[in-house]
Amino acid sequence: MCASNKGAFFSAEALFAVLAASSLLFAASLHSQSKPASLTSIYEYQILNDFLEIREKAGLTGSYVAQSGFCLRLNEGTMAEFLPETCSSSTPASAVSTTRITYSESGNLSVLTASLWKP
Amino acid sequence: MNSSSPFRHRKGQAIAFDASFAAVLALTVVLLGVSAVSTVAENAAQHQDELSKQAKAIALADYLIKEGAAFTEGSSYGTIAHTHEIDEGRLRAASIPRGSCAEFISQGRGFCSGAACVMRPAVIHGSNEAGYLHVCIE
Repeated sequence: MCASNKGAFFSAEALFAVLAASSLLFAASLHSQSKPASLTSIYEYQILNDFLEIREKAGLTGSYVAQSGFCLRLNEGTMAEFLPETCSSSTPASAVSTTRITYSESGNLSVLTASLWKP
Repeated sequence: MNSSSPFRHRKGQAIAFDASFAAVLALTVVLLGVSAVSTVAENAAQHQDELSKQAKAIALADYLIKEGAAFTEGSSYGTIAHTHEIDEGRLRAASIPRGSCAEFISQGRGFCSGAACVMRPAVIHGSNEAGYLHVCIE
């Protein structure tokens, strides 16, 4: 019931309506800021695996990786390599990563961890 | 209105102040709600369209790099496709959907353009020259 008390300018119901309207606007604003679904991660994961394939077939250079607009980090044993070298900062949390077992010419097995991100 | 009405008005007033205020607020909420729903629906449709084009470009590039334009050779197990090794002849002959294009770029920019484009690292079979398979969807 929208009855205002004597001496009160607005009734409790009217104030509740203001509160409800504000909540609705706040929810709409939050919804519009939410990140929409995208295929970016899938695409980046494909690119990361492509780079590892190219590494096996033709080798990777900094300028080649830079052409894609991505940064690549390769960790094998104690060795860490950044391609291109200008990406040698910390790897962001949003980077996609994968791990492969590699077989060297000397017959040793090692673990290769690769990460890819947009600088 | 009689004295039992929830909306009290002063003498000579047709509508109570708080009732009219609540009505204006209710109308505003309805209008804002309708506007917000229509905007969200419009954005969702646009985003869905972009996502669909992006998915088509990703799928087409994946098909070309793994089979459609990959170098193939016969073996005792049947035909083997060497993924990421682009056979330029097969790339030219590949049947791709109308409105889309695909090219291999080793240096610089390509000529292929569209609403959604993807670039996948690949090598040219034979020369082992590293480049990118550039695929666009209209």
